[in-house]
Amino acid sequence: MADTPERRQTFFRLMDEHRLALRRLARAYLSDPAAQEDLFQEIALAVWAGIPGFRGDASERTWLYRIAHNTAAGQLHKLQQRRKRERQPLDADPEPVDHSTPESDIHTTDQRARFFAALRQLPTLDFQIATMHLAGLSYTEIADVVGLTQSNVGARLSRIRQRLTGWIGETEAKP
Amino acid sequence: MNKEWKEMQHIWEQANPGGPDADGILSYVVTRAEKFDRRIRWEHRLGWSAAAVGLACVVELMSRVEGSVEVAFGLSMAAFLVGLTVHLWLKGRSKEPVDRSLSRPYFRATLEKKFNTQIRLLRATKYWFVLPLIATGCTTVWAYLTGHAEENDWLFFPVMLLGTAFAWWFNEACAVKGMRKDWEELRRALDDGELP
Repeated sequence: MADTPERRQTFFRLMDEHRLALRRLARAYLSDPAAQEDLFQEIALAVWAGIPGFRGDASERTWLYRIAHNTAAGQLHKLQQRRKRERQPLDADPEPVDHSTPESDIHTTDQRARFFAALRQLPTLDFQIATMHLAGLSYTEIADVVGLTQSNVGARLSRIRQRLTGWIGETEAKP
Repeated sequence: MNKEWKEMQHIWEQANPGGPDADGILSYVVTRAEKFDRRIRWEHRLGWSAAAVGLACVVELMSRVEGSVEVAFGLSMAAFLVGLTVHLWLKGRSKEPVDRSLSRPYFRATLEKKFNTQIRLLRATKYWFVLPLIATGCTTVWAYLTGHAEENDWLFFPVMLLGTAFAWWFNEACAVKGMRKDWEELRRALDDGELP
């Protein structure tokens, strides 16, 4: 499909409405800021490419998250392959903590870093379900994106919560 | 959503990827870029409207005059107005919104190109005012040499000279300078993260 004004308009509106959510998603997938930026751009390009094919069968938000997660999973796989070849662990680089900030901010940043690190330990499907739940998607929408039933999503979210709180608690307890 | 999820969602929402002010800076730049686009569209419309009014006046003037000098003057004025309108239309027709969701370097380069194009257009537009000045000068001299001049005809040339000088000054001192200042502010916001 050509670069029509309608396509541009849809793209700008989608990016305006979901930019921050997509950036958070990129951050959840990857810890390196440059890789996060690359992933965000990949998602933006995938959204642009996907606009002509959107028929409105699913809600716009479901469609957008499906594209975003598929793109992110693909990108993550590529990175994993590359790092495997280079024999580097995927999360070798920790979340940056700005030590010039006040103590309360360091605490917040540490907490955030622990949280994102815990999220990344989840299996891919659980990770996707958790991030969509955190972004405020309903069980129906999540089920639509990942292809599970609503009750399955609910059961998985319950297990994910236990795992995450356990991991965050463990890392907090460590000196 | 239970307590643990709510706490986790709070952390999720507090995470501001891309630096604390990155989104604020980008939205500032985007707002300014859109304002710039609107301003250019408005200026072009104003230019076309002024040229259309001018052209109507020239046509009306030419329908009343009989002398070849006056007709030549009217034709040169019409050529100036049509030329200016076409010039503005050609330069202004391909203005597209800056694609803000792609990479920052791309966004910055596109924005800079838009500003540079507009500055070049403004700097070139002033030369268009030389044509009516020459036409007025030649017509006045011709009218006096041939004895066709009326009592206050000598006033045309100084008035046109003043008009041209004003257009020249306005383009250089106000419009181009203001546009350079605008770009400098946007450049500082994009490159250094400084907001005015």
